[in-house]
Amino acid sequence: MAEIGSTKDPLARRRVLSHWAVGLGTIAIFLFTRGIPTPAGQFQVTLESGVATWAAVVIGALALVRYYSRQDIIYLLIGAGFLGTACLEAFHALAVAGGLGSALPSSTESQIRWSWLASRLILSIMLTLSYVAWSLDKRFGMRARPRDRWVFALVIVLTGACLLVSALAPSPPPFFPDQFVSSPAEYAPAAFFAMALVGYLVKGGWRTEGFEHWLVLALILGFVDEALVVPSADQPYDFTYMMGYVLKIIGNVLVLIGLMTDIFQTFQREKSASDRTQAVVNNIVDGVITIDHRGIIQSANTSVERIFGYSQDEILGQKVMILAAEPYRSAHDSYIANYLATGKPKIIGTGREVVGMRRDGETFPMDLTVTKLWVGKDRLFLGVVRDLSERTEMDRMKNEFVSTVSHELRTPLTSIRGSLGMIATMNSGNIPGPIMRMIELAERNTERLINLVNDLLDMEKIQAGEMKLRAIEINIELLVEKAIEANRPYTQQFGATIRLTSSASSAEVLGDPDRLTQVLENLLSNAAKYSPQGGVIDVSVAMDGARVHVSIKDTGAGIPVEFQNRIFQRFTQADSSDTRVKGGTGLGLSISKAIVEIHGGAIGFESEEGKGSTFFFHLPISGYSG
Amino acid sequence: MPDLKKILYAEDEPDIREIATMALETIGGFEVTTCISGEFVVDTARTFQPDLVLLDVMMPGVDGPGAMAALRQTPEFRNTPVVFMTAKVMTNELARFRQLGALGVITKPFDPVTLSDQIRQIWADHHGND
Repeated sequence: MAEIGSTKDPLARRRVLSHWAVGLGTIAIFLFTRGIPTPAGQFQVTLESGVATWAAVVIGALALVRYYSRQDIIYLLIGAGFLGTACLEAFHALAVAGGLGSALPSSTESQIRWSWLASRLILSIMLTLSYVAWSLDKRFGMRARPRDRWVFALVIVLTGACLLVSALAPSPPPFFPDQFVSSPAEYAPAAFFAMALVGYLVKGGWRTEGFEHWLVLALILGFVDEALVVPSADQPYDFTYMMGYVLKIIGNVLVLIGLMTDIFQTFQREKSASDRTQAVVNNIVDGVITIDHRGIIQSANTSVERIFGYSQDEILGQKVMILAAEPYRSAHDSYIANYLATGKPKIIGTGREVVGMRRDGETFPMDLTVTKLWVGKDRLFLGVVRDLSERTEMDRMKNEFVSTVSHELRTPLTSIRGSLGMIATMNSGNIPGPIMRMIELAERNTERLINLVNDLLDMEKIQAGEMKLRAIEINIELLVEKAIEANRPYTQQFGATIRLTSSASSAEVLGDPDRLTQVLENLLSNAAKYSPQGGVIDVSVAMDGARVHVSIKDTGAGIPVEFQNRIFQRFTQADSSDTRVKGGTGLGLSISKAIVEIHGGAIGFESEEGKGSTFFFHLPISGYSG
Repeated sequence: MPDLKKILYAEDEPDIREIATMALETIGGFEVTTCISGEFVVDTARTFQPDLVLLDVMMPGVDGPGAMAALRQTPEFRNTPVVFMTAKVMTNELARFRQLGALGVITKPFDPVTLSDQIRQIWADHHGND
């Protein structure tokens, strides 16, 4: 409260001035007009009571609306208080108008005086309690907050009791015209108004909040009215008597103004908050779309217009599939339907690359992430769309760069390996042992670099869709036998042996023997690398319907579970330290997968940690030989 | 089977050229003359009279196949055997080189220790088929 609350704040200073002006002004008017006769009569008083009644009803209703929309406890007590007051005001208006006549046991004079007192008392008590409830809220939190129904019950009991007393008790009016103070009972509401006034001044909300400022003004008027004006009004319809009524109406109007100001400010705040949210959403580079469970677009941000080329008007209310290209266009409905039916998200919650279609029919790669939302009771799907065309172009340039660099690396690597090879061969007898070992080390690592470069080039070709394959009838069993033979020395390095069982000796596939050999060599060398000393690698070739199934089973350490779903990704090895121990580029399996898939087959594995892994692939057979 | 002694070798990369030459001379015992580009192949061949021409496929200016075409257009080299050397990734084009009339293709990166044996094998295969 320090800075804003201090009277250095010009708004607060103006408000303090207005408090003094209203308080002192009212007292001055009272003093200067005391006892002046007026032409007013019963009619004016009835009218004023009627106006005060309606004002109290409206205030009560608005305050309760505020309470239920903002859950600020003071509005509950203020609203209930004004509604209770309104009942007594109505009774008072009827009494003043003489409408109750002699139907009731109490005298009209009694009814008028007691109902006035009761209505002012209930209002002032409830306003004081509203401050008390706020300070309890502040000190103890929500758990100290009274339930709505208790507050209403309290008001109903108080109001009912007051009505009964004013209407039925044949008590004399609390009015003593002969004494210095003719209505001393009015000091009771005056005391409560004073307490409420002090409470709200201490609370300090008047410095910044529109409503509380007007409430403080109304409390000042209420206090002056009950402490000064009403107790001194002993002549019906003179200026002071009428002033009592007018001040009550003005007080009510001030509270009403406060409520209106508050509602207006809240409305503006909410509007600017929603404008701000909209501005944020519109300035996101990604397209943000919400769709309902039928796939109808409910909202789209500016980026959606930019990415897809549709205007807001064209896109809202349309099916979201108009933004997708085939095959996603046909599939999209079933995604949502499936999801709603099975609860199994296919695209929900994960990003995936799909093909989008712009208004002009141009298709482009996009990343789509769909999230399920609940807005109230409505289920919505939030789609975030990123245009990948630029990234795809970047990818292409990156691949081209990798390819160029790899090509450039080959020539110097060839020279290095050639030189090392010749040194080792031509001078093998004359080179001292340690130097020979260094030469071998250099040779082995050059070999690794060359393999890496070759793998990189293969990878680049696969990604660019440029891997050209020959299509030759191949006897798969012979191919596997050859690959095993070629790989045998390598396997022996690791102390492992290979065993082949085949039940598909005549199966033929249509494919590129070099590339399929590359797959086999990769799987065989992996099996050898990860085999324990003396391990047996079981290779099997078998028919599986119209496919031939090749599997390579090792008895190594197996693949850690957390690594299994990344096994076919590029540059992956279960343990990065493996690269050093086992050699290899981490590209082999992803290249193998691509090769097998280009052949119309599939590759997979089963692995159990500590027991070994089985890698397998199958290829469609083209016929039988022999 | 005629003896294989003289090899004319065209390669633009100086280091590769030197290593291959050393390998062919010291390990294989061949007599080697080199060109730095395809365009000098025919002229060099005239003075050197090689038994076999070894051509790198990718060379700036006149490349391997270009140099081979030039040889074929020269009557005295119409039947001189040609072997290509090319990068492994180009092996898809193997069939095309064979079609051009090459005796064989040696893939790069080559192993200098076995290079001479590879060439002798190609030579033997060729003459075995005669």
